[in-house]
Amino acid sequence: MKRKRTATATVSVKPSLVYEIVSDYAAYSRWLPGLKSSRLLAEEGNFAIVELEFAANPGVQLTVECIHAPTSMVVLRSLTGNRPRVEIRWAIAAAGSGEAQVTLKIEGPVSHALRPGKYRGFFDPDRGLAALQGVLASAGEGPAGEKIIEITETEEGLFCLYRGTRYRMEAGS
Amino acid sequence: MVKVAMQVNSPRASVFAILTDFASYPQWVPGCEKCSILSSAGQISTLEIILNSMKRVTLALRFDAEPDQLLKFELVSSKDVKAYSGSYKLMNATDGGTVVVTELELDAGPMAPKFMVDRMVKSTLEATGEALRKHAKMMPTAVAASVAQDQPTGKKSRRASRPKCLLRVIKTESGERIWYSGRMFGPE
Repeated sequence: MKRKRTATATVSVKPSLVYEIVSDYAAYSRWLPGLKSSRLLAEEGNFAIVELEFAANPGVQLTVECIHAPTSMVVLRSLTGNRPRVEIRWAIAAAGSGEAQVTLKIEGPVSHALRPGKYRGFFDPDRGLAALQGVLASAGEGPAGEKIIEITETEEGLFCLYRGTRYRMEAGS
Repeated sequence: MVKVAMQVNSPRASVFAILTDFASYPQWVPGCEKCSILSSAGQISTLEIILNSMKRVTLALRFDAEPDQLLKFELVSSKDVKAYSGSYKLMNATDGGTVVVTELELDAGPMAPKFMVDRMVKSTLEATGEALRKHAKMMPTAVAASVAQDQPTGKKSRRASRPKCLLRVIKTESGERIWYSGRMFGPE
């Protein structure tokens, strides 16, 4: 038996930024609840193959195929014949100036979706959308105005911009 | 229809060469007793294959190849199964090598329940994937090296991580405001 759940939210960023985040499959485990790892195996055009590892079932990978239509839709689903049968569908639409309406639909087996613990977090679209909003908050443009101080985290480390000059931050001890 | 994806640590051209070297199938495809090429013209080949796993089956299959991309196969005739078709789709793996996405639809007739057949097909595809990995490893290094240069450089993610803004203090007309984790503090 399958369980389908849907949630919708309006976010104050452009649809292109939402699309950029939800189609970055390799980064899913950094923010989507219930995932221990996510690995992009291959990608060509609008099609990708990704391996997901659930926090509730470490060591076991679920291979999913992903189809993305730029700025409007991203779908991930288990390869046919693989268990659990999961489908994650992101729909993104423009909603006013600089805003986007995001709908997350998650389908999965009732046995997983209702199980207490980390699977339940993954199968809850409200939690998925809340996590997305957290990512968008830090990835967005931020407020307009003259920057006095800005601290950013990059792959190279922490940086501080202070009155137009960029400084690399290092641990003091 | 059952789909399986497997990663092979060999360049795409090498994997394609292995998959289209039909005469060598009995050497590495699990359960393949015999493979005879009945006809071959351009990218289309018709083969007679005898597979012996759960049951011994004889299949006449037509293979249609798109070099280094796709190898499709469909049933021409068989007394043992009602339907047998599928494909091997080859993709460059992000961290080097090749990802092979294999699809197979098998209808063994009314006496074999579909869920049982699909389960068997899945384990057969996984075993074939493992055999392909081992066979590709044994390919002469010279062949692998000659095509390795065609491989793109591996990448973990489609795009580099964007800088993550943690904290920002800005000067606005109403005064200095603090932006932290998507929320604004200070005078409106």
